[in-house]
Amino acid sequence: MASKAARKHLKSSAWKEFVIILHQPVLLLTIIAILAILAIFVLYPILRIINLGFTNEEGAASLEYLTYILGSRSYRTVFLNSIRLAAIVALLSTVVGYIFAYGVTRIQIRGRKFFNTLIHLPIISPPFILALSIIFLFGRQGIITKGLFGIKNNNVYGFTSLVFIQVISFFPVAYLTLTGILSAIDSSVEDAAMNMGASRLHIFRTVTFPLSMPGVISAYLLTFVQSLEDFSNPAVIGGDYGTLAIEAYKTITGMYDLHGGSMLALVLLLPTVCAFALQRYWLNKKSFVTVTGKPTQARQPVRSKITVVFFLFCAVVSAFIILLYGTVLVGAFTKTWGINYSFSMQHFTYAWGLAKDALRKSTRLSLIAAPISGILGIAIAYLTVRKRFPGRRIMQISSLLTFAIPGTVLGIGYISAFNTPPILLTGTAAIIVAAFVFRNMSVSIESGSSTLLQIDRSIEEASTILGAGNGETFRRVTLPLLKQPFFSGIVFAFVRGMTAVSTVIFLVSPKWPLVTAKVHGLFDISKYSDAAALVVIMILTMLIVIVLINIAVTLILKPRAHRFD
Amino acid sequence: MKKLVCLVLSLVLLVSCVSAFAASKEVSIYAALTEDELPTYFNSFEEATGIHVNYVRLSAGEMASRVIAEKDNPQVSIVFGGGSEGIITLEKQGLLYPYTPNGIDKIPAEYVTSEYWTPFYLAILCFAVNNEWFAENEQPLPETWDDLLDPVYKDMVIMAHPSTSGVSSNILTSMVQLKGEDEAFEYFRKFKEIVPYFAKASSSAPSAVALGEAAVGLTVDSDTLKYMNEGYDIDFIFPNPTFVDVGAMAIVANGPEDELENAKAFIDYMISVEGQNLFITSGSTRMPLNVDADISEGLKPLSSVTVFNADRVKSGEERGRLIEKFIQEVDDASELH
Repeated sequence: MASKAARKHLKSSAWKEFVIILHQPVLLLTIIAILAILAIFVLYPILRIINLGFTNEEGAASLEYLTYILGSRSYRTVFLNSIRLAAIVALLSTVVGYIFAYGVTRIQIRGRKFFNTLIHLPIISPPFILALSIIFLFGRQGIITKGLFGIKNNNVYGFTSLVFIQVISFFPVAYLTLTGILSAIDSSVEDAAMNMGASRLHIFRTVTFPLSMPGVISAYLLTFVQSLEDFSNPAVIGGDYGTLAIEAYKTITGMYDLHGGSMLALVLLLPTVCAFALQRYWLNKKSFVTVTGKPTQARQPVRSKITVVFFLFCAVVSAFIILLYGTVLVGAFTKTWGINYSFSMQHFTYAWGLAKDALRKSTRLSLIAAPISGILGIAIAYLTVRKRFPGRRIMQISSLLTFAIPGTVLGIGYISAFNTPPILLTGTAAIIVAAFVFRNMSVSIESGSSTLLQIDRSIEEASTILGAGNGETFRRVTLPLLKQPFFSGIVFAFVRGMTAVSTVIFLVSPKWPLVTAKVHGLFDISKYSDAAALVVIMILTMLIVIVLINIAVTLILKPRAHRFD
Repeated sequence: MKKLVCLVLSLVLLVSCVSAFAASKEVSIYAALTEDELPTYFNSFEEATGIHVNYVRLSAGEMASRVIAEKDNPQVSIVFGGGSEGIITLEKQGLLYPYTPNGIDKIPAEYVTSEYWTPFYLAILCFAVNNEWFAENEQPLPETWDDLLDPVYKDMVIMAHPSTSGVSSNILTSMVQLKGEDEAFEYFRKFKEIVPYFAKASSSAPSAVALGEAAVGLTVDSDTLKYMNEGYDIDFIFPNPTFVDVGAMAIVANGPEDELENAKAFIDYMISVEGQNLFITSGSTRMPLNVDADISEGLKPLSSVTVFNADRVKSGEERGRLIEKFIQEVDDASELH
């Protein structure tokens, strides 16, 4: 009886909150606009994919693809392959990302600025370049395997390499999600525990780690989903380890079977939706508030052996990243890899001539998409965490769907949704921008939500009590507190746009060539040094843009005092 | 919040923009040839006619499935390159526009089998071999298909998967016509024991051989010659009999209307002597089909090899079923190690 009454109370309070929202036209309009946008760019394309999966070539409703996939032993194995890979990669990425984030934000190891910069490298380059340097370093002709140890016939293709490369590629995402939350944990809670005589390990186990759980779970979820839908790494280095995303691609481009490919993608969405539901269920039951507006003290840097261990770990991982990218850099300046190692600039000249137009267009479209993605993501995070309204759950789930679906299939969904009136977008820049925005806003949503869960509502309430409106409070109080996830979200959306491979296979149009398609093209014909040179140019471009984004975000979100003049 | 609303509105505006019509001095193309050779063809075409080419490079499979996905509102005028099978699939689905180009009489009649697409180069299947590996292991070079089954090559032979590679699906369908279906699949089951895995793109075969990742790669002559010209110590061997594939191009039905004449001009240009000689200048070393065109140095003329001429229309018809069978019986993903 009591629980029933409680539920009733909850329901009526949710209703009350909704009534309050009804009295705030700007907020209400924002909610409606965001829901409408999600309906058009997320739900509609996914409905088209569902429609493709459940109809046959004659257009009649059919379950033949579903029953075929469920009944096939090889598809079951491929499905389990995907899950196993994603689970392991997500675990390792989260652990590595956590160690980095903890070292950089909580115990302030030496060289943290350096680590913080370096860690962005793996997300700002097309992933198959990592695969390439693995082949160069550890392949049959590898500099390390053959040159250093004399090992011949080392088979570098397969599960182990795939795990390795995916962890290197994805752990920075875990890191970005975790730094936001770890740097926001008020150190006074740790200090309190310390004053009561708790050991550092004990504090970590009972205070810091539990408080960072929302970030850990977000990081795990994001890397899990990324590994599931990853196309380019398994394609280049997976060898005979088949994954569902690859099968979906093969079915679509090899058998020209859009229906079967769509059904495979839908099957792939299943684990994601489950993981996501578990996450929400778990987070809703706990409180993680530590940012309360009460005065805090500056953190005391830790000086103990533990920092050395963290430093060493970060240094080793960083050394590896440098080695991988160093190989790419050397490759870019090498005349002919494997034969003639003399210095040459010819690849830069060639790559620049071939792709400068595409580079400019990629940068432009990603730059348009990134802030939209960041703002939309933060807005969705804010609305879903702080407000109660009908459609909230749809907003939560739909924002993750485009992130989780394999890029090739999302491309098919976008084509079949926007190739005919009323919304005719194929061949335009808008379809690419839309794909970038909706595919990449998950990071801002995830890191924004987990940071928001830490911020005590009373800070916002204080602002409202002092007479600020909802928008004013959001802009002047909440948003500045969300600076880190906002920045991460924009950077992530930008670099994912610049480096997207599988998403754009079906969306690049003759008038809007993109630079990754050029890299992929060079890679396909094994013009590795040219590809490497182009990637170096891309990395430089992205680094410059990221610095500019950082400056812009800092300027815009600087907390400002009210002037009364 | 105001900014947010502004952005939301501008996004909606973006959505409502409809693409502007292309100028008539342009033509848009999906190209399934390699990225490095394309600028040569398109720039020369623009110099000769003043028509600018906008293009996207895709794999042959991506190209065909994109045209299928866009059939209600085709985005390009031409599909350019890749084996004939993908193009035949498009022809079957009624997605191509019939056109008989000027100068078609210069192409040997045996290759001109349809008015819906135009053949413009020939690819001869070969074994690309890494000379260093054979010298080091003191092995004789493989000469026939059966030579490849020798256990000494275990994990050293590379072939792309027929579902993702036009070269490989041509091997599959031609082999079935050559040996009969049962015997051909028996062969591939044995062959599977030799390869470490089936690669994604056929172009990865010659590169793997060039870099010493594999001793033998199944690929086509021009792709191999390209690496030889770059200085890699590899060679090609033509098995007896070998297979050939015709490179095809076609006009997409209901493509951008104002580009149709430009598209026809492009097809005409690419089979002219001037266009065909670009296979030399671009370094792609493709075998031209125009009887008056010159042949890249180092290419073996077709007359010097024994060719099994498969029925291409039949190949196109059987392709889907045979690949499905290949996945089920040869490359079963559940037999992972």
